[in-house]
Amino acid sequence: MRAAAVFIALAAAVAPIAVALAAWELSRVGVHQGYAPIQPIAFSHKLHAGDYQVSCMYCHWGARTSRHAGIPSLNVCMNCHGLLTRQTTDIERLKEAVQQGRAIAWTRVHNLPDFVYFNHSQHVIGGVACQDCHGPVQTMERVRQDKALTMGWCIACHRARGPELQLARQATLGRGDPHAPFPGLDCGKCHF
Amino acid sequence: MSTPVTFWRSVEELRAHADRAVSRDCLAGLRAQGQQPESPSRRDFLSVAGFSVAAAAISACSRGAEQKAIPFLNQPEGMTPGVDTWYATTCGGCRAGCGLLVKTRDGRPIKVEGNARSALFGGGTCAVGQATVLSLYDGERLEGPLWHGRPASWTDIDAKVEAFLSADGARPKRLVLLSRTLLGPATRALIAEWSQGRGLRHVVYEPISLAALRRATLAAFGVDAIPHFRFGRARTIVAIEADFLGTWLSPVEFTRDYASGRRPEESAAISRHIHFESTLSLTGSNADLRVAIAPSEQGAVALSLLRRIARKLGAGDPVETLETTSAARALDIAADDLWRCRGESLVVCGARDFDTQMVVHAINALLGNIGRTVDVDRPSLQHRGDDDAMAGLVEEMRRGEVDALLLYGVNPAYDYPRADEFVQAMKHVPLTISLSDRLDETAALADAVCPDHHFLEAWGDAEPVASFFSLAQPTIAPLFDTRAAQDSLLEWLGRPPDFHAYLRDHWRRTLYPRQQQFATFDEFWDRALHDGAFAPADGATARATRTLTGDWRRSAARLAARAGSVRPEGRFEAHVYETVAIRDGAHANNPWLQELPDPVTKVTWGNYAVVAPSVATRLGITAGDVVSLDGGDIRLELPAWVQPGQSPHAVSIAVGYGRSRAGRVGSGLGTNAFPLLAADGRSPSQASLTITRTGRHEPLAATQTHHSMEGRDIVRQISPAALVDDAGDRREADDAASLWRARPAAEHAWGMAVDLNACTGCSACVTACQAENNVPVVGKDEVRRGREMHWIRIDRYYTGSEDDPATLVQPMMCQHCGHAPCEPVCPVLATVHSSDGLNQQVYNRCVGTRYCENNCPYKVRRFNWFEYASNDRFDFNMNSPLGRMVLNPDVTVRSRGVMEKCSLCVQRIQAGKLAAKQEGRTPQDGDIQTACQQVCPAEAIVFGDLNDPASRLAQLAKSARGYRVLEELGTRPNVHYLAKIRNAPDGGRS
Amino acid sequence: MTPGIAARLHAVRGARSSGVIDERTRLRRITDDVARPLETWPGGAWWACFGVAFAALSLGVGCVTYEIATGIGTWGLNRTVGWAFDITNFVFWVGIGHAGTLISAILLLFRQRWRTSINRAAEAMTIFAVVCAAIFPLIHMGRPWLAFWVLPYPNSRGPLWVNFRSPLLWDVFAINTYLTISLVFWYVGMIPDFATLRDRTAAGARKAIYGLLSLGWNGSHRTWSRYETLCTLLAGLATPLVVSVHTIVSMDFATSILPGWHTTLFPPYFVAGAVYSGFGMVTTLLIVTRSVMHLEAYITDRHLDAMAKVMLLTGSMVGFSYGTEFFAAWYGGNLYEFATIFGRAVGPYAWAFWTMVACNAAAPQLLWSRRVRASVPVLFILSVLVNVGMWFERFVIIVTSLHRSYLPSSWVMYRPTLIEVGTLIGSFGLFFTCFLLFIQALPMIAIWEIKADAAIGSEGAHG
Repeated sequence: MRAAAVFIALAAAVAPIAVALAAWELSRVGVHQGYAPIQPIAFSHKLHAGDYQVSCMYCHWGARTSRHAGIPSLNVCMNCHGLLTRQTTDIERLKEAVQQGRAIAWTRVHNLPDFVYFNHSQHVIGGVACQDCHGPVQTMERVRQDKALTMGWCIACHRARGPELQLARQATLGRGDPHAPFPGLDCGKCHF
Repeated sequence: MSTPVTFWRSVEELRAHADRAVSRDCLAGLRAQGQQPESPSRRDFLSVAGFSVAAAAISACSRGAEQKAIPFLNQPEGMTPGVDTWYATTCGGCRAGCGLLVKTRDGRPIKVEGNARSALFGGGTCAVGQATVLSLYDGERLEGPLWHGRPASWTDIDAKVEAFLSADGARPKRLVLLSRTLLGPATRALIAEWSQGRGLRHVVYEPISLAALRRATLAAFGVDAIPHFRFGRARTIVAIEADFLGTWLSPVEFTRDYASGRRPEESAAISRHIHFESTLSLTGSNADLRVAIAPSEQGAVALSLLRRIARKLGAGDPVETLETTSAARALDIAADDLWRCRGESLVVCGARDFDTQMVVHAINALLGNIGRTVDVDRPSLQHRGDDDAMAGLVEEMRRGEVDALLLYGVNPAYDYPRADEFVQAMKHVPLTISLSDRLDETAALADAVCPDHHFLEAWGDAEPVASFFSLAQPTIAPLFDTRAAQDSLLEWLGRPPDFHAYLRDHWRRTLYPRQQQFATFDEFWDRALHDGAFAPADGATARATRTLTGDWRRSAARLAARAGSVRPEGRFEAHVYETVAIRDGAHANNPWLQELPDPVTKVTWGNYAVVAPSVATRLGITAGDVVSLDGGDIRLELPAWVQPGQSPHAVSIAVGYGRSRAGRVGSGLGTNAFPLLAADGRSPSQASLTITRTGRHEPLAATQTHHSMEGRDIVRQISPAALVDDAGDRREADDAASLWRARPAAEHAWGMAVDLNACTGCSACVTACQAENNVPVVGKDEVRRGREMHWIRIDRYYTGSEDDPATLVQPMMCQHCGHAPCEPVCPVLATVHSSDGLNQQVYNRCVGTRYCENNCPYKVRRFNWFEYASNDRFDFNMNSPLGRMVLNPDVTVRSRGVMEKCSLCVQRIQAGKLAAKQEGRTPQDGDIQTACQQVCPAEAIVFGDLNDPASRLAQLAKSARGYRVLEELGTRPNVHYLAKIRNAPDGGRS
Repeated sequence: MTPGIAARLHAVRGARSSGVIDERTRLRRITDDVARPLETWPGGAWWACFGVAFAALSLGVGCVTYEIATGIGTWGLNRTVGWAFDITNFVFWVGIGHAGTLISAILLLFRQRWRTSINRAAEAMTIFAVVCAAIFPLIHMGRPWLAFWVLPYPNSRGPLWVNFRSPLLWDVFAINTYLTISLVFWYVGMIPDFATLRDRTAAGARKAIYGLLSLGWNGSHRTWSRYETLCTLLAGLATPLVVSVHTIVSMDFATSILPGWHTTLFPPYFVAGAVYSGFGMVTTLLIVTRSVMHLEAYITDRHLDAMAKVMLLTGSMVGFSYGTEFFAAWYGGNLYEFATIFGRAVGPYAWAFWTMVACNAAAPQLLWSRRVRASVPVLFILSVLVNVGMWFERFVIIVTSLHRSYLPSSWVMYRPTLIEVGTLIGSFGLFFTCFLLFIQALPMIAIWEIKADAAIGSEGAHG
């Protein structure tokens, strides 16, 4: 019987730890924080956005007006590289693709599930900085998914910024109930 | 301008839905190599699975295949990935030629809407128009030209054709172009050139012909066209067998006009509509007074009406015979009303009989309607079929007097009443060329098939009504190796095959001079292209209205002589009609239209023999019993449908079904009723059928099986008098006590109002919603099981007697209840209330207990019983890479096992709010339109913000006619209804 | 004729003569009789029953697998009728469970001694029934693989909690509580018997297992007194469940807005119905078992008589509830309620309604007669009828209320598919498979309790 008692005691001690670990693992399923795939052309955001201070919106101009920030078309690259004389193998590859009229298949880093509607322009207008969601891209040689991009992560920001946005808006409109629920927390804001 | 082929390579397609990106990519690759995209095999199908939320949810458990993002090589000017581009064009769905605005996303047309700039048609469309965007992505379309059934290159075909045409023989080649009504002046000009150049004869053929009306108009007024009817100006409308709100001539325009005359808030005088017809049509179901007549009585009714009017006019009775119609009372009322509204009344008739049409013209003339409600100076050019020419052509072909036959937009091997004769005759024609976009019944027999573009891929123009012009432009690069019919004609004419240039040139020569606004043609052209419509100023200038010159008295005499021919006992007159969805069968392969419930019978997927309840009882027939209709050489077998309000002397069958080569979806559905058309309407005795039961039973797929309101206050109907009485007396259920604390008022409170008086039940909203919200098609079996997925349905109830019912319709969608019964019962919070009053369904949270569906008093929730988006059992548009291109990237495609329902087009609301935000303002009333509101030709649906007292919605919600369905349950719907007004002579039946 | 059989017949005759266990049934033989199935290879009758039950179970597994792989569309449900067989079976099985708890808990508190020889089986039945019931809410989900979303657990969605307002969530808690308590109660009840078995069996695996299960029971006075306390406490805990579980289940319907569901009558009505169906099932099972396992000496006619009386009582209560529904529908003057309730009696599902009335309200009235209660075959037939009737009661409540509710435009008919029927059969298969394994593997009569009973009986006889 003592054996049984010992067994039970051990189980009681180990079980919670195991459960906690399992729960943590499960909560990370489908979260790709830190994902940094190799790209067909080793484009360095550190060089362009960091060292040379090229504005994000110069290449990802869609972010201002569209739901998609967009990946720049090759003619955008050539705007500069058509004039620049510096050559590297990667730039060679780029120019080759342009000459052959061959599209470059980049590997997507940031993927949201199909059932989430995310609109870049809405956030850019709202004064959200690119880095808030994409991390310090200007320091990344190869782009990495910096944030978890889970729903909880989105909601945290909406919760934090919601109230003052709401109040500011109501002040400008001159109507609305300060206790009204914040539209930014509606499910239908992103899921439809 | 539509983007070139590069549209395949945009980022968003990959962003929108990974699998669609994959699928479209493979197409793009093939296209780049100049190959045809192969039709999706099962493997493709699996390779692109994982489209849905479920797949996403599962694949989210592992990174799965890495996703590629392929940017443009060269970003086209003025196109932002992920932002809609709109093009104005002209609808090719039927012969009405409505103006359209086409919404394209990343180069793909995904939704069509009416062009509000079009003075004639307004912003509305019909169900067929809405569905045309899907027919663009129809996998049955030919992917290139065929010569004797084998794929060939355009150069080969052109060489062969030109060789044949230019082969010098003893005599010049006799060419015939057999086409549908061609609305485009430029195209007509092109054909005229042919006729001079090559001696081509042009025969216009319409399966459902209005030739009698046109001939009568020619005889009566000397105008070889159909008058332009102005229902909006008529205070009394009498229609004889003319379904002008559903299928007749120009339904969208007529619906818009008709509804404009029936708005009590705008003018106290509501038009009265009296209808004589055989089967209960959409139009008849809206009439204030409707009488069921046998097809053979059409003439008698017209004649009796003429006699009454003539007597009132003091012109004396035109004929000295006895009255022979059964509808005396209705005729008296009609005559009185018409007479009271002389000059503001309108009599239209769908009879395919010259004399009847002459008499109807006479009535309108005697009433002084010519030039007011009946415009013969600027007539309609929409329906120019010529039966006699067609009959003559078949005869010539049989005699071998035709060397080459061009078939353009016609399918006589299916829809010609004596199709077998036509097929035989075709064999005697050395060269037959079909321009059909698919291998239909006729094209299959042609020597060469030179597939035409879909109208959304093509240039063109139209003149539906004299001196009202519109342009058509491509909204997408041709998906397949097809060529515009006009280009083919130009090619064979030895001209450069560039119809775009030809069109511009034609407009430069003919229309540019007719305006002063623009200094240069390019400005004029760009403006016309942008607006889509152009009405020259001189068109509007009134000319001397023509007067009736034809000899209508002889027609009257002939009618009188014919009337009273006795109907053989136990035989029934065949009555052939078009349904709102399928029309003449050209769109039979369109799953959206096949699944659209008929506005009256609510039956989908197939046709049926409509019999009167009394007849059904006598013969022991119940709905679904397969009956055999025998009429001499014609014999049809199809299930019966017992229809209240059906004439006991007639059995009605819809055309458009029984296609043998429509495609995967449409082939083999129903029975072809065109053979009956030969006899129909002309001489009833020939059309008399016997009905016998076969003993088989074939349940019909009806979406509504109970037709009485059971005395419940669901659709309210009041008389005009009642409206005056209780004006302003709005029963307000919100005062009822509530257990719940009131929500703090947010910035918006979205809501909707549906005017049951304007709504005709045409069901365009159902298809529009399907297109906008990626609503799946489930097919005949599933509809039989009561599982159709439409987010908005049109409930139809009968009141009164079986033989003479009054019909009530009610669009029913999610009511977005303030206290929604569905919300508290969901265990996982998958359906919740938004801050701005929407009842939201969160697909990706739903586990599918269906408790919300059970607890919804309106039964508007729809459950995904299967994986509709990737399932061989549902081989409709969502299951092929091509068909998926129509999907709206802003709306999730729902997975199996989740509940869905009307979201009040939340994606449009969000887009509207965002647009306002981008412009630094708040959304204005009217900025945001739901799909159902936008499409409605009658403008019966209004979406808006109840928090904005100035909004149109807030006004309507306070209307004296306003009420909410099942208000007494305390659900506080945000959808308001406005009671129907029946302007019946006896002060409102119900 | 072996002495064993002779003795049993003797005992049975004795049992007939005096209601309680005959004093001549010596305590030793009780243990022998009860332990026999555990120590001998099952007989042909058992194997026959097991074969049938297992076949049914396999069928059910097949149907459920197909349904989950293909979609709920494999059932006959539609846009208007969202629940039918699935929830009918769920409520049916939950109801069955109630008799066990009632017998083991409430009758224990009321010191009903006749319960002793049937309570073990009844408790087992409870557990198996609740397991069968719990399957249905799971498989009726459109996406059962996400069923864990109904549990409130911390997550990375914000976090996103469950809807505590939803009766379905109350069900989750009610069913789980019920299952847990019943299991504990059942197991604790068996501890002394495990000890007995441990002591009877020679060393070996069996002995080890029984030893572990008996948790070192030594039958000392201290053990017994603590044991008694524990049992009473558990009984006290279980008692409210008899009422609460089915009350909560009834709220799935009562809290809705649907005519025919939205009524305050449901909680008592459902509890009565649950006990009714439970006793129906217990009777059916025990009549079969006692003949299959030759336990007439312990499950006597008096037990059957007592259970018959409970059925008569609860059956009459259920019948009364039916009447009340109609009265309320008529007296309440609610158009929709009236249409639904009277629609049951005259509508397209009238056949189901009248089956229910015949089986549930009419048939049990026969039990007024002592002769009927004394006749085992008749009792058996009646108890089966009760089960049929109670299944139809749930079917009628769910389907007839759903298929014609507020808007006539959405009125439809519901027709079950073979998959649904197969699933129902499968649930019975699961139930009987479990039960048959139980009577073969565990002491199906509480040895220690019945011994106590017998002892008391003998005293009574002497005195």
